[in-house]
Amino acid sequence: MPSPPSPSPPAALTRRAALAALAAGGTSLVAGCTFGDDRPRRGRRGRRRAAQEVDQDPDIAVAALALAHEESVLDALVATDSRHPRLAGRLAAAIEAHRAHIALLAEAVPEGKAPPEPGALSSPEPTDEPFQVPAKPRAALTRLAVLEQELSVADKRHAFTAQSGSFARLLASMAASASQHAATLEADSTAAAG
Amino acid sequence: MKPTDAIQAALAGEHAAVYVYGVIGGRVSLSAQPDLWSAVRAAYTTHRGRRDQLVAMVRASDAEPVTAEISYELPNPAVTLDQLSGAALEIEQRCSAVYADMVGSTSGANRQWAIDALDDAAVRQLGFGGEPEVFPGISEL
Repeated sequence: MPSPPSPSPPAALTRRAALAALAAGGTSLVAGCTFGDDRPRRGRRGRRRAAQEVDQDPDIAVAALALAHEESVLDALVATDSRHPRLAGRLAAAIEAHRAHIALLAEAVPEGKAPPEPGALSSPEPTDEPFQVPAKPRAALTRLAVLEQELSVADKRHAFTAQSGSFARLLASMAASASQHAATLEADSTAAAG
Repeated sequence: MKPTDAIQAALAGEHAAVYVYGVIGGRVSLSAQPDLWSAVRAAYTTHRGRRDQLVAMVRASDAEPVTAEISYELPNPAVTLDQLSGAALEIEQRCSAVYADMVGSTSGANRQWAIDALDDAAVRQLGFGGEPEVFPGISEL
């Protein structure tokens, strides 16, 4: 993964300390930390494989899972934005929020680190299939609302299991953000129907 | 923050929320502003319920629950429709912040309660004119 513009934690920091600093951190971690759509990504499958070989701090494993799920939702939003240009205005805020979430989580997940095989942490597995954007704008909005809701549920579970309190607070906030976007997209979908 | 302190802070926030919603509810007209009336009514009921749950949580940890102040300052004059809605939004944002802190300072069932309360408050903000946020309840981000 390419280095984000903000400085990475010093190598001397333990992963947990880095994560705690990240979760408690200031605006500098997020400000200027947005990625373009063309940001190269590790394959999710590849990440998972790498994860099996390394034992992980449980919170780093949670962060990796949350990161993969955030990326899958961002992919869906960007694909929908591209397929339905007239929805762009309705998707901009959600895209911005998920980019910020991803930037923060990416700081917590060391290079080459991958989410563990889902199951133990009961997160729905993001698929490697490209997202199929529904042909009708209204259906596309409804689909995105469902994805946001699923992300919120998963983030809430992660917040419950996180060992670091500050990381739990961060994940709960991300879950609440996803819920807000789910509600907004659902309302937009209903309005589009009317 | 100790878990009990975080729960007490959330309880103090709920005392304020119940008070402010009580005032707002008295100023919203059911016939003229039915949507806002319904939203305020639902919020008032929810916050009263949360207040009572938090009192029980504090007692369960053998502490004495903080009591309500005699009165609270409203976030704004709360006269016009926009001000009434804005006051409700402000209350939900303040509650989101104390719930987020409670998530970070508790574990188990109390943390789960705070996670759900934060989620509810964040979504409730949208009904009072709020926009989706990047990190609801976390002001430093």
